[in-house]
Amino acid sequence: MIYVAKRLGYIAAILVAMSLLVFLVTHALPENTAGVILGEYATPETRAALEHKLGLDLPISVQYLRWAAGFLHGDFGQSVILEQPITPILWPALGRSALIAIPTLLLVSVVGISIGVAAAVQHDRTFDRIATISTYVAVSVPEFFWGLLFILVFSSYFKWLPTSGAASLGDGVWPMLSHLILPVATLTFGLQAHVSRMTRSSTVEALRSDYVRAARARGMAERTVILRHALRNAMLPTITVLAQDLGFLIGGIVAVETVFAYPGIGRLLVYSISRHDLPLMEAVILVVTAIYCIANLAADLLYGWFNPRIRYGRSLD
Amino acid sequence: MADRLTEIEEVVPTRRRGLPPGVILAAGVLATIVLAATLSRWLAPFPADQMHIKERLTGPSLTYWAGTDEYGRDVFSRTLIGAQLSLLLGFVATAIALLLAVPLGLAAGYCRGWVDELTMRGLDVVMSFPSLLFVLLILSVLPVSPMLTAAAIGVVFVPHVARVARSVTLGLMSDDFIVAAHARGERLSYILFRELLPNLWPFIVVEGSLRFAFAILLGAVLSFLGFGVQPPAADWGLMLSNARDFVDDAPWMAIVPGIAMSLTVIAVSLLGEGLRQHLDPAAAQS
Repeated sequence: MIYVAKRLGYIAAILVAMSLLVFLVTHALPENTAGVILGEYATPETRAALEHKLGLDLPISVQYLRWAAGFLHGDFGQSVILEQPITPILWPALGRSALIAIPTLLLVSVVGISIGVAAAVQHDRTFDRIATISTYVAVSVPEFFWGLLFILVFSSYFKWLPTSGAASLGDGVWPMLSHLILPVATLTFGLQAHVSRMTRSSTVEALRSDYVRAARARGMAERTVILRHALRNAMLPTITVLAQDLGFLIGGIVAVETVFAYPGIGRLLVYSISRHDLPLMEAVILVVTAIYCIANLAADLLYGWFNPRIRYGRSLD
Repeated sequence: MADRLTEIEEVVPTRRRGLPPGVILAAGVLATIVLAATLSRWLAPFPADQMHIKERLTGPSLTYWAGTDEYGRDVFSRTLIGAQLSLLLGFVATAIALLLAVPLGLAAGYCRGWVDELTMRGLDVVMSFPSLLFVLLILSVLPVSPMLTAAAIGVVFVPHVARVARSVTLGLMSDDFIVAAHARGERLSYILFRELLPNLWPFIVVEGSLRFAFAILLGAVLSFLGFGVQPPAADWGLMLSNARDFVDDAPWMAIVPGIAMSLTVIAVSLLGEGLRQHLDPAAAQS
């Protein structure tokens, strides 16, 4: 429990540091929000008036505190380009992205670990060779190219699935699902390769160990040996990779949402940056990063659950 | 039991064996790509921006080996010429990452104490951002230019490379030859440049080659999202982004640059992985 509290404190410190960084970076711009609203032909007087109205003429520390306080209350301020509050735009977009992210993460774990274990058991035989080579290909090809290929095959050629957009549950179960299948498949395809590669090598290692040999010598069924003894120990590096994959997943979601024109948080981010909507951009980056930090904490706790030896240890590199 | 024992013996690292065939193949593929990129000006059948308006979106033919795009530009020529920008971007990003990260890692590993603590905690903050988000944050305040994109990617990779440099330095510091150098009263610059850096180098080369592959991928994603190379330049990420709108009518627009990029990244990462195994067979086993 002390460990969890410590980690939470650490995350809070990181988040404060990050919010400062995001705030300072965006406020280092000569072009501020008032400039974006008024365009390039604004007179200095109108600009000064608007800056005053938005509080942009206050000292930067006061501006930061106002912004951060709003954040803690769940108020992300006003989008400049969309001219509406950010909060009601951000949460639904985040929800739609979660519809992609959560199934992807589950599939990546299940598919990646299964392929990894199967390859390790078949070590150096045909299945292992094929798995190893396809892992390389899957990792090396950017997800937006997989996305385009999937569109080519499943939408353009077979015409089974829609190429873009999203549908809510109100439109029916199949329309909603059909918009999710290709983005989820694209992301899973690339990410499972990291997991299966790590699971394979750590399972191969575990299967060579003394405790597995001892378990076999005791006459345990091979199935039990693999699942109970080898896999449980092999899971540790796999969890580390899964945690790293969270970062790739976030990057992947931004790319994949763009490929499939899916209205999630990734597209909101791309939109806000390309339109110079600074408040919207700050909000999206900070919310996504906060989720990323919390997910990393979850991974650390999971790690401790699988490996009691380090349960109260420090940072887990 | 007997074959188990031989299996264990095989694991014992044997240094300086020949390079595996996969690595040689990867090096060959990469050399070909680099050569083709360098000579693309003469090799490409058409200039990158030459439009053939009457032959827009035509499929692969004898004239246009990989078809044409929406302006009638030759996809094959553009893919060939686009290799330059992608490789250059990867190279610049990796160089920046190494130039910033190696001194940081060396300093942290050599000084330890508060220098180490301060550097590593600072880098932790950078690493707490998903890398794409951090690059986007940097790029959002910079004017759009391919070299600034490369620089931003380089900066984002600094923590990863610095960690490797630091941990190797920490390991070396307790080795006899460093302790001996200290005992001889060698100057700091001698220890850093003559003793530590040469031993650090192999690890840096390996990490650098992996970062190079990541940089090409990240650069392509950024161009794809519209924050990297800008039209009408020929660039793989940009070509793929363009191809998205014509995927039904002109799939070759996506497939050809996509395969070129994938081949490059596969070759680079195979090479990096092979180098790692060659330099450090024991670590590569796990």
